Amino acid sequence: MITSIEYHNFRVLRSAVLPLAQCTVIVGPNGSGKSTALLPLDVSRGGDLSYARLVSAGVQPPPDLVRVTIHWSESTPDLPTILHWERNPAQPTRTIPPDPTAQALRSRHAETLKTVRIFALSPGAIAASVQVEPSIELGRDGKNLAGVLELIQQREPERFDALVDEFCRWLPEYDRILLPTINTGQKRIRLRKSVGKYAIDAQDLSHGTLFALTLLTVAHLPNPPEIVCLEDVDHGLHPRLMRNVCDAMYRLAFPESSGESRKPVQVIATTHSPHLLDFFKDHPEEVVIAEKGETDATFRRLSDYPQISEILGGTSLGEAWFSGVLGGVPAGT
Amino acid sequence: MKVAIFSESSTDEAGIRVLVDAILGQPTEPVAVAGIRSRGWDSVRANLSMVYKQLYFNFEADGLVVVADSDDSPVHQQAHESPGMMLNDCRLCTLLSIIEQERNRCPKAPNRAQFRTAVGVAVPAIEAWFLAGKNIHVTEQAWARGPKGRTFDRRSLKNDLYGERANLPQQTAKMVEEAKRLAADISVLEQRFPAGFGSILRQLRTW
Repeated sequence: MITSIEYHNFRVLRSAVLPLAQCTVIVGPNGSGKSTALLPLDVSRGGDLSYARLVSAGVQPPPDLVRVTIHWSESTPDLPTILHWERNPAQPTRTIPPDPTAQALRSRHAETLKTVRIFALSPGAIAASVQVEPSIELGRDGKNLAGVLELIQQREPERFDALVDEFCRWLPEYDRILLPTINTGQKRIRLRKSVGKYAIDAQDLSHGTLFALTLLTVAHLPNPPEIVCLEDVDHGLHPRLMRNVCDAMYRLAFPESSGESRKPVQVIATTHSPHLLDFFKDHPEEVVIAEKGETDATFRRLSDYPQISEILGGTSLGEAWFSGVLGGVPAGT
Repeated sequence: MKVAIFSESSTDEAGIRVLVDAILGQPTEPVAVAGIRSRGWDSVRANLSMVYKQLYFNFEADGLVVVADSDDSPVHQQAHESPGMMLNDCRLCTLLSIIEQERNRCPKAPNRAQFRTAVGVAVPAIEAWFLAGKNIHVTEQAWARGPKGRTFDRRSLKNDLYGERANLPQQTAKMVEEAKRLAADISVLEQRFPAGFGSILRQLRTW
């Protein structure tokens, strides 16, 4: 598990540390580095970032070095993964330690980073028809969802049924997920209405419905990635569904609590929803508040605020965050 | 009888409805709107007037049951109910006062049958009610002793009742299971939570 990520001159994160738990939800104003913080995880699995794209335009003189340090819980002593970009050459370099005994651990971390998936969903991609292949995976924007659902249905019908049951609890106006094959041989998603029993094609479903289905599918994947990042996890969903969103995140991060026997997934989610935040009040170690300064941004874990339980008392965490007393709100609002 | 329950979650509503049905001795129906929800004390206090009026004028509700958590506010005492003795920080006093105010304000609506209400405050949180009879230390009296004399807090009550990070269906199933246990002998709750639960019990018995 990643315990923290340190940023040095990484865009707006000029000197910041992001503390992470098994499940972490990050809140903060727009432009406070929430999405930027996830970028190094993408780079680690082959994403392309050059020095020129990493340094904020306003930083003068430009720094010689941009560095990201990923700390792991399994490391004793701590053997972080370091990514750095120099003005010349403009390529990321992963530091390889000289100690051969550390090599196995390094390799394992590198393998873990390759499995990271960052999801920033797009309704058009989710609704698209898909040619099903045995190795099909859910795309960053949710593409291939029909194919992924088809494989779950074929390979693990009980898991598929559980997914359908949960989806229909979230949105009881539907009672079935249909995956018809269209004339091109591709699969499409259709949802059957509980009343009237007619099917609605994915392209005619609301964005929130498509996001909900995709999020639940991620939560029910038989072999999910070791690290899952969910950008704007509340996007398009009704505030009353936030408890369900929290449950889906916990299903990934703490599978035993949902009767799953697979390995826990580290979940990192960003949100602007005070309603979602409410459900993390009992776990302040899982909440990170991003703060935007004039030229940089920083992170602070809620459990690191002194006397946070006493301060919050009976107030909902979402209300407390919205009020501004915890920081992480837009300036001038 | 159509009864609306103003609570924090569908889980709370499910458990409360079992208790309400047991006290009334008949099954109640929800009103024809989705569950009425609050987001903690501030929203209960802010929205109760609006909820009351909406149910009174626009829905065929026979009654409204309101349950809030006391959190760290003072535990209600019978003395608060004497004229002029209402305590501003007491949540039960506050809720009863809002209801009374709306009852006096709302004009008699044509064809409107009597609109009944029952208000309760769970000390310190609703999970405490559903542990009654299982954890002998969880009582209003124990909470009223103050932080030094307590063996439980809001988080430990949740963990004791549901376990760590139980999901919504698991929590609802547990809440209903415990509510059914308590429905068989409602005096268990009355003895341990004489103010916060006793209030709702006494009001429901007048319906």
